[in-house]
Amino acid sequence: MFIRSLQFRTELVIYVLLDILPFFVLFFVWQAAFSGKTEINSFTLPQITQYYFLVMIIERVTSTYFENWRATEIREGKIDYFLTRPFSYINDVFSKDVGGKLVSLAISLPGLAVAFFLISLVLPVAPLSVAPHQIFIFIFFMITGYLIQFMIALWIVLLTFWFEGSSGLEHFKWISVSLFSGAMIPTTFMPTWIQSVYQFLPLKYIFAVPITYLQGTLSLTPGMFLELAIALLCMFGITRVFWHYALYQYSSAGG
Amino acid sequence: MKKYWHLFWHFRKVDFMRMMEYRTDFVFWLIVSLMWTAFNYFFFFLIFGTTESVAGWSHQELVIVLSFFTMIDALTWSVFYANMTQYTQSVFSGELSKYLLQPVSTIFLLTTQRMSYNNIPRFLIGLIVLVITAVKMDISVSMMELALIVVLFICGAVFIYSGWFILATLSLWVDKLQNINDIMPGFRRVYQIPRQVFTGVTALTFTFIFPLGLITSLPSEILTGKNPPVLLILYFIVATTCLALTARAFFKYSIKQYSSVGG
Repeated sequence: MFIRSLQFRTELVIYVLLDILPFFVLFFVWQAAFSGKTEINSFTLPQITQYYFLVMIIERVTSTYFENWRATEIREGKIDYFLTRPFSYINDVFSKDVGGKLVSLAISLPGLAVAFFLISLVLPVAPLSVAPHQIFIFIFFMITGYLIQFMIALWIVLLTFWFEGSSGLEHFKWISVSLFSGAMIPTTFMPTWIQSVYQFLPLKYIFAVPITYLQGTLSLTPGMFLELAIALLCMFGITRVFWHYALYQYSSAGG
Repeated sequence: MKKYWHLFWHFRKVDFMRMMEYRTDFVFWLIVSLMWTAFNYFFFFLIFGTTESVAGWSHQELVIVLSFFTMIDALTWSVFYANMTQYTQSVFSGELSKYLLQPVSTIFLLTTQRMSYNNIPRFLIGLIVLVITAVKMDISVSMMELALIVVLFICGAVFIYSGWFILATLSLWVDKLQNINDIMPGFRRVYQIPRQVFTGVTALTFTFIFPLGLITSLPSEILTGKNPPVLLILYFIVATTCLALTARAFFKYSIKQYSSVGG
């Protein structure tokens, strides 16, 4: 897998550049919005820049992109193999996605680190002063954030058992995650009704919570970890139920 | 010319038939397209809601920029993306040969044969919001200015299409690059905002070297009476023409690399 990833390293470079470009554009937008102001909604420009840089890193770690081709795989009846072997299809999706992600991170994270260094030279990015335990907690949230995104993506894939065009549902996922996780904009900028939905959903643990924690504007409580654990368990349970009923919908014929 | 005109509308008819074949799919993607449009407006309302004006643009003026962007974006996903994906896939699979053997221009075939109707409502939303905002702002434009706005809008579309065509043509030089068609959409953010937002080297880059920043800014500036420099307008028209000619020349040169084997 590592060799295959290296074979497509130009693609990876393009993806990293495409990750960085919106960040740059957003910086200029915010710079214009901050013109003549030092603070908006308790954020300074360097803090906002830092916020979006952390969004970029978390996005690279937690995002999933397998919905489309996995949905096609199911639609074309190519998962028979997993139904007759003692290795679940969900395990296959998970292990391949994690493997691919680890390899792509190994290749792209050094690039992002260099990018951060260069960005901090030309743009005002607030320096991060964090203790080791904060980094561990941040990594923990990235792992749980990945699990949340993975399970939502998996639901979209499993919906293929019922609906033919479910692969396009990934757009709903992108929009929902952007809106309710803090990826689009810090939540303090959001209207009240979105903040209410945001408080209710576990999506905030993907971006807003870890970033504001690392920036020192949020104190974590045991209740938050409990809420996250319950949310993950519920999502896992829903995935199991989904898979159980999805199998009854599946049919494939050779010939 | 008549043959090309006839072919163009024949392709649109085939596209329409394809759309009617998968009506649910069409409705679904229609909703997705509308959601992205709402999302884009909403996102910028949140940022711009924090301040009175951005880089000298009032909220309503920014809505005009966003509306031009929405219309260009509709073309991006309806026309550009559909054709360029088909083009690069045909190179990688070796199917380009069938286009080369046709008794019509290969570039014409590659750039007009596909179109998705999913984003037409997005285009209409952009146009309607543009008109409503212009009426609200009590903007009055002369026929000359209106014609210039249309010309610049078309130039913007041609600029993106030509740039994208050059990138897609690179597929003739590389073994396989799946995300080659993600590059140009990746630059969309640049023309989603007025050019005055960019400063320093970035402003220079997106105004003169690779004038993406002018695509929506110039028509918006004319419409809102900001009177952009005439030389800048001329520069953009000339740059677009040069890019279109370069795209054509690059294709003619690169096609010699094509082996018809696929990969």
